Amino acid sequence: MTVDAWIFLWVVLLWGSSAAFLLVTLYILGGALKGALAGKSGGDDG
Amino acid sequence: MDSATLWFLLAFSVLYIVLIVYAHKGRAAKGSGLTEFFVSGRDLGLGTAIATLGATEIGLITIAYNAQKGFNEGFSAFHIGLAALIGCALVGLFGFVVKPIRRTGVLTLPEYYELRFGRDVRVFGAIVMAAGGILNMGLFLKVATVFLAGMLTANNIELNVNVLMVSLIAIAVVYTCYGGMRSVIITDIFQFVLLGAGLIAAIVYLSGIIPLDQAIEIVAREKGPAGFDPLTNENFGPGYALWMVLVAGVVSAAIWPTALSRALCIEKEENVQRAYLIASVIFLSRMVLPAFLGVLAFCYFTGANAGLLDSYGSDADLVATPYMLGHVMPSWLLAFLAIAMFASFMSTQDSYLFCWSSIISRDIVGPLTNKIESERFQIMTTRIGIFVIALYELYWGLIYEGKEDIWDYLAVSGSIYFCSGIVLMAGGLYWRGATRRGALWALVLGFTAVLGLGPLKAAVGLEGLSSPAIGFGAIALSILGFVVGSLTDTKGRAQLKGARS
Repeated sequence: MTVDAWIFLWVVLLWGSSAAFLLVTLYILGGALKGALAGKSGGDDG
Repeated sequence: MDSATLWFLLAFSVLYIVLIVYAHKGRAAKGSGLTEFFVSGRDLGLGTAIATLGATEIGLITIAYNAQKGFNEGFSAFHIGLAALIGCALVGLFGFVVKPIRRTGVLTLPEYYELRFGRDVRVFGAIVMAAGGILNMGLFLKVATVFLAGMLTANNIELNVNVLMVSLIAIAVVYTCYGGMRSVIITDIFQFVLLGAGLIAAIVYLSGIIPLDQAIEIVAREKGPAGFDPLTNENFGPGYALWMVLVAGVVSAAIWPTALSRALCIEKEENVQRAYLIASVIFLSRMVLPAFLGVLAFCYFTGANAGLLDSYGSDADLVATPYMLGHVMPSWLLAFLAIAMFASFMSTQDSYLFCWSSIISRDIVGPLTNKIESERFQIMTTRIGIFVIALYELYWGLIYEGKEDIWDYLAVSGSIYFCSGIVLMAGGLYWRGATRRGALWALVLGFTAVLGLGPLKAAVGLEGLSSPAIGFGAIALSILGFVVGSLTDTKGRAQLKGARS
């Protein structure tokens, strides 16, 4: 694999992992808020 | 001294405490008893399970060691995140260990050892597990203190490191003793959201100071191809990458007790695999994002700011990232990050303190005193264990003088447990012919992984061998002991046949 190919891979991983981390954070926050609004104990989605 | 940062710190601290207290109030224990204390009543939904799984494994120590790797090795350090993603996704896809272990209904992992191999394997296995785990967390406190102090010192807020160490550990001990696993999980959720927001905000802000293309250019100039290609980097290589798939991926997700204990808390069995599959992206992010901060710190201290780290000597690579954050961040963001980092310290610290002390209490002291089912005794010994481990952390942080990167120390110390742990868990769950003798031999031979620790490696003249080579060797020995021990255990095999028929 060339250095350019490695750079491409790491840039994709960097933005991909940032987006994924943000999405999972929002998913958890959304679950917590949904639970809180529904009057459940602290927002567990179970 | 920057008074604006101090005011923001105070405001965010108060907000953090109020939110934690509110969350505790809303999520009061749904009952009492050992199941409530050890596995949070086994009532976790999918979202909470993902948060607690991800948050436990992304603490301040994770930020620190990945940033150190990024600083030292450039973008090639990202391969550890890729390896973690692959390993954890495999666990999620196939339910390796996590699915069958949840089905057994045990409260701790050594309890499974007893169920499958007998009580002596439970006690011996728990001793090996606790030894590896406690050694592993020995540097958490020191690294967290260095990191937080580095951030604030760069902003002209002087801190007494020893006072900070004692304060951090005291808060963690009181909090963990207070509420058991439910407290641990509540901090996890808070920490995950705080750290997620803080990390992304920091990266966006820093990208304005050091754009990505400039960072790539500086790493290419200063480190050459090794800054991007992990296979040709002399500190990594194919063997190291493979070791990472095992350690950062499969073991961290499916064998390491702090993570695996989360599988035991999930309410619905069908959610176990889904939680791991989704959490695999967190296993990627927890390595890549802090490593990128380390790369940015390397770029920041190359050139005009090169002299700023001179006074830190061999700790410069560890201090670089927090020092950069403290140096460039605006007051409000620095204060928010400091609270997020504190929360991430707490969430890992309480999980680890709780995990190892509950294993000591439930799987070593309990069976030896025949008080496994005594709720009062179990909770009391767990709390004593938390206190004693915290004291050890203070002590070990001061005396250990290994020269390896923090991540490599963690991988090797963890391997003391997991080299045999993976054999016993997988062998016990998937091979019907496994016996007690095989398990005992595997535990003894897997312990050879301890030779990978820097000072021991030097003492026995194994400096020529890499840590991954020693780790793979220990696993091979453990498998050999497990298979040969089981096959030659005619009495054990006859008992197994009798039990089945």
